[in-house]
Amino acid sequence: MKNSTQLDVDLFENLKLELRRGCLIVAVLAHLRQEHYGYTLRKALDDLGLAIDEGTLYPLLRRLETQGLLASEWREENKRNKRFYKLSRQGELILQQLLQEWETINASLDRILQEAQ
Amino acid sequence: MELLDRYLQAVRFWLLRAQQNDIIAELGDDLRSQIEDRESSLGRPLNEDELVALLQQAGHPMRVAGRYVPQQSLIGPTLFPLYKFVLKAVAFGYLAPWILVWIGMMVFMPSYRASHPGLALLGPWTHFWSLAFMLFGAITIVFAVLEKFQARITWLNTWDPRKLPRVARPKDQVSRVESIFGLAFSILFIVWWLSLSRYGQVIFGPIAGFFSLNPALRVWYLPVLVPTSIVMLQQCVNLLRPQWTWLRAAALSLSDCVALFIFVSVAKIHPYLIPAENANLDAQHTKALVILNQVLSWTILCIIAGICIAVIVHAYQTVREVRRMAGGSRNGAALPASQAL
Repeated sequence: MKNSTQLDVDLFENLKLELRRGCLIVAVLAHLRQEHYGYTLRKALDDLGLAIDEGTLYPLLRRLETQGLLASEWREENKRNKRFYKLSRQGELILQQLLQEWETINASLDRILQEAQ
Repeated sequence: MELLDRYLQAVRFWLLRAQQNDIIAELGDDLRSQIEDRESSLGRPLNEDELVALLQQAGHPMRVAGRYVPQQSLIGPTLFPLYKFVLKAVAFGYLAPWILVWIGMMVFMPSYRASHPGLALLGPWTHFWSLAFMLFGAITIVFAVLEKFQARITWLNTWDPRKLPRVARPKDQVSRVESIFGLAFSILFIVWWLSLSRYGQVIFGPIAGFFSLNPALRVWYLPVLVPTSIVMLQQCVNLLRPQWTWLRAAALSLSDCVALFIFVSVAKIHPYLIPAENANLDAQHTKALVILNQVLSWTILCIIAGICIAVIVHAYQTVREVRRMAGGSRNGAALPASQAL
């Protein structure tokens, strides 16, 4: 039986996950305007304050590629085969729309929060 | 790196065959890069414990692989509420009465206990489980098929709000017409019941000469009218105080409990029919007597099961009415959402 503190923690984690889901997609698409392979992308996002584990990133990359938003190719680097990802043309168009939407939501949220205060 | 290879092999096992090589190569490269980074920052190779910790952080192989597999569900969120509703309806409408009847037979039918000695008494449960699994399985299959063809189900997209059920408003009072009709029926029942002692021969018809009721049942002849009397009293009070809606639910609960007690007591008086005085029964009539008693046993058990359900329903209604009254006195009567806003 979980106590109320544990339930609160679980609830927060679930809500955080929902909040992060959409943001991660935008962040990954935006960062892949430059070519990266998975590990360097993960490190770069981490350095910028958006940690993402490999179990989340790689399935996301595959999904975005299947949707045609990313293009990938296997190439050798440092004597190891790596899969490099880059934003596709369609991905760029979608990213533009997502960023516009993001700004609209952000502005609305700012107004809502200011009004609430 | 043996641990890493074992880890990747375990992840591979859960992946779709077509994706295995691609995903394992990418995931393996990521983990190797992590290991190299850690080793360069420590200035030495990772020991086994550190490698174990790194792999544990990456996640259980099945969980990691699960993230690559497209999300699938046998019954999706659209149909799931309906699926749950149907399962509940089957459980409460069929399986629960089955259990009640079995308990009734075990408690009140010595003949049943005698014919199922020891563990044989639990024999019907094998039938129950196979029945339950068959029903739930069949329902699940039907819903899984519906889920598969959901895109073709048009009624979910072509619905009309005007066809939705009206908002059920809790009754503020018991209708006087309902009370008057209820009283009339109760009086009719009492008159009919009391006439049985005088005109019983007419009701039994051609079998009256052969069979008669077990004399032990006579004790319960008049008490049978107690539940009806309780309801009559409630109907009389509600004629004068129709706003006492809780009284109806409470009186029905009380009446159910009394009826349950009476029927449970009657069920123990087996056989219900015995050969009539001075009647010489031939083999055919004796067989008919056994069958009639068996039919009566089953009928009484079904009635007991029905009363048990009624007790639960009316007890729930009583609690709801009392809570509604308590809530109503604090917050005013419950209103539909559109009026409350």
